[in-house]
Amino acid sequence: MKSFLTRKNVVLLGGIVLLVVLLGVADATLNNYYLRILQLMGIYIVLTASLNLTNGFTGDFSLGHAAFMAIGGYVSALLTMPLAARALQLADLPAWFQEFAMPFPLATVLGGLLAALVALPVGLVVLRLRGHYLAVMTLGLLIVVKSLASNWEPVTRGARGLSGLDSATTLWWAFGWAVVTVFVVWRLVHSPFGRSMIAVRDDSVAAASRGIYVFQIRLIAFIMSAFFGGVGGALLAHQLTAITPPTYSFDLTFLIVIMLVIGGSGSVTGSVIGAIIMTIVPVILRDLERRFELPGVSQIIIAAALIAFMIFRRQGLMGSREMHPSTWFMKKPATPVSVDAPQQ
Amino acid sequence: MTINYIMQQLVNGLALGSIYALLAIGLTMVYGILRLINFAHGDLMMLGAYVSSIFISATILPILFAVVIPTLLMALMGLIVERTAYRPLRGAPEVAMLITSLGVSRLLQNSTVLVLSPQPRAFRLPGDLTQTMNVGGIRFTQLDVLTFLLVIALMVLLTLYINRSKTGMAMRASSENLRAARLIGINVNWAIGAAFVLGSALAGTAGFLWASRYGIIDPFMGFLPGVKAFVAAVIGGIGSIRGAVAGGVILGVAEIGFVGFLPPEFSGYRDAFVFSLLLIVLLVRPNGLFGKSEVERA
Amino acid sequence: MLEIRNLSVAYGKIVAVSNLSLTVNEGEIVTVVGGNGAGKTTTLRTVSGVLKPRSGEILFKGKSMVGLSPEAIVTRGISHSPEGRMIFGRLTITENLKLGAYNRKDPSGVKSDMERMFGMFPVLEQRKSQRAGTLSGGEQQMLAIARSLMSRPNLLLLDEPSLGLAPLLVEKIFDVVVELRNEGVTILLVEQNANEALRISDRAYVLETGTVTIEGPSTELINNPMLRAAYLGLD
Repeated sequence: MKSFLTRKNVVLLGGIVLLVVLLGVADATLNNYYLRILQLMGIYIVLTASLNLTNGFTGDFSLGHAAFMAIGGYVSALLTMPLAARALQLADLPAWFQEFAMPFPLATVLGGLLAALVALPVGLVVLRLRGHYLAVMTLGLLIVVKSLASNWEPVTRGARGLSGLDSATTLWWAFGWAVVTVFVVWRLVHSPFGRSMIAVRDDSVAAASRGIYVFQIRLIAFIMSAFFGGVGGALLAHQLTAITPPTYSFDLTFLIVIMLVIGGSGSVTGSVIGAIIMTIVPVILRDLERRFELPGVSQIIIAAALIAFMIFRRQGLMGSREMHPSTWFMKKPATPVSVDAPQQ
Repeated sequence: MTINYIMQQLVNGLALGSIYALLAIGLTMVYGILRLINFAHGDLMMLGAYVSSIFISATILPILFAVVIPTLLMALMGLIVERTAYRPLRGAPEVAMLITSLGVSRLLQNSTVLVLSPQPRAFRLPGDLTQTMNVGGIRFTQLDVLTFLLVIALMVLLTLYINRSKTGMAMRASSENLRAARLIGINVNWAIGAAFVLGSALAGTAGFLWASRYGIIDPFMGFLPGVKAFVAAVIGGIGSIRGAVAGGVILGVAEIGFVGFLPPEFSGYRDAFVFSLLLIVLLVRPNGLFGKSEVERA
Repeated sequence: MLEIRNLSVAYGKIVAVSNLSLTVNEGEIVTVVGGNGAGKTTTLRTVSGVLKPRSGEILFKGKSMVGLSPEAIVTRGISHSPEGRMIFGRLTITENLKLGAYNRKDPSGVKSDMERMFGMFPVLEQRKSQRAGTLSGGEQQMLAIARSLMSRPNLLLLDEPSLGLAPLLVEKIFDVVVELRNEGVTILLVEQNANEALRISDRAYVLETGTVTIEGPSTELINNPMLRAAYLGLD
């Protein structure tokens, strides 16, 4: 039997222990402001790593991640809302609904599941499209979900939104889910399923001719991505403790896309790196923006950086390479074939 | 529901649809050649509206300036955007161009925030244009009439240019087969530049019309109309100018009809309705209503 | 007239042409034969400036063409009639021809050349205001050749002109090629139909996996036993 203590597992275990220690120290020493930034970082890792399944690996460029976040956010908020707040805000809902409050972890999972459930019929329809049309239709999904959130008064309270949620998203939950997401995505893309995903992205006709179920693969990736999108939305709702329709705006989708692009869509570790960088950079920029009273400057810099990335380093920081500590001490890993377009 | 009410909704729908049509023309020309959804197109309309507002407030100048100057300036702006942001991406994957256009959109919006203000401002036309006339019970303004005439005139001019001029010919050839156009020595960068200049000019004109219609402008006003205009172009059949105009008008009338004829509690779903319409068209008639053979190369 | 020295071209990491050298003298018809993926089309597209070489030199009338834009190369006298014809099906025949003369600044010359093309291909004149997409395969090939002649090239790159055509039309196309040479156009011809191509050409190159394996006068190559087996379908 192969020993459990392979070099890879030791490094992995060591990494998790290190993360736990670091988070423990952070939790004990940092003030609320910095803790919230770190929590956001964990949430963004969940969102970016999951969006990578579609946008990076199957090549289905979705602009609708915030739609699944909104579903997860609203569902979990409805489920966990304290009874007092519920009686006040959602009096129109049936009596049975007034009598229970679900624990946060379960509500998070259910939020993700409902997002995945919505992704099934949506995916069946919109995945018949590819490329640009898929991007526009997923943007349309976001607009549909937002319309629903803004207008379904008895449930979502429209523009007033839901408030008074427990501040349940701790550093541990945020990073716990981040680790789970990254682990699942990593295992998935390094399985035969993941190789099929990449084959679908690079040449779906060739993949189909090799017996790969192209549509099913894309659909599964879309649904998995939606699940973690929903989870991320639930985490965000319980960090903010209140949500309104603008919480899950196009800006949020766009931010996640930027994280993915800068990190390198096609690389799991790249998406993590992108999320970390793009959590910190905007904080610094917004700070400068306030200090010098230059509204909009942070967004301008980020947009300009994005354009520059597209022109000069389209593959993002990592491209489709992975950063894996256990390989640092080994011989040079085989570089995968890049997906450069032929020079025209 | 009277016949007058129906006619009234039709007039409103046509007015909105004309503006969508103006925007859709630019989007369809660029998409036809480059397969780029230019998400920044609506933001050029926004800039056009701001430029226009300068001339509206200075009441001495005739209203003509408020139309012509933004049109010309946006033509220039379109060229600048093409040269700096999109041209370096020739031959890049579609998605890279799409992301870039989102970046450009953000850049334009927030530059407006920085230079001016994030606050909305009023856009008031001189009284004559907005005075309502009543013909047989249907109310419309001089602005409505101006909108129709302007859109029709611009469309005729543009169609003539595209069908008759050498550049227009190069644009059509590039739209059909960009590789072949390059190979036989057509200056495709010139054709692409022309598509951007013409399309952006129309977006500038649309800026004036949109702002006059809604009376208020803000830095983020352009994005959604831009996306909806792309929807209109797809409905009409992307790549075709006639299709863009037809799609724009259909979308405008349908959207106003949705708000005007359904109970008021549905009106919050008008944007959702637009995308449902797109989805139906894409699934039932993927080449759009006036689409030519090949649409999607993905 | 055309001299390609040690040319290498790659798509990303996939090398399509490596270390290829080839010469075309003024007034010649030179044929390039080779199987699918041998790099024939890539070579032509690199000469036209659509692809950028990784290394090597391309000299035309003694001047380097590397790095010039496709339109600059057309202006200097190289014209390309692409594989698969690539005519503009939604444009009229006249418009297709006008686009072939896109970079010319002499309207009267363009007009007389158009008449010349109509003389050479009468079928095009009969249908000149129809959409090119309505033409048959053979007619489209004639249009593609006519379009590439509208720039008044000194050197014509012809990529698979007989592809998918009926034998009678193939004959006609090759007749046209010879006629063009007699009018003073130098021709670099890429053909799968090696037999016919060798018959009308002066010299030939055989390409395999992106590089030249055999070269020589066409009459010699036509009798080369290896070639006969591999490309000519004889024996």
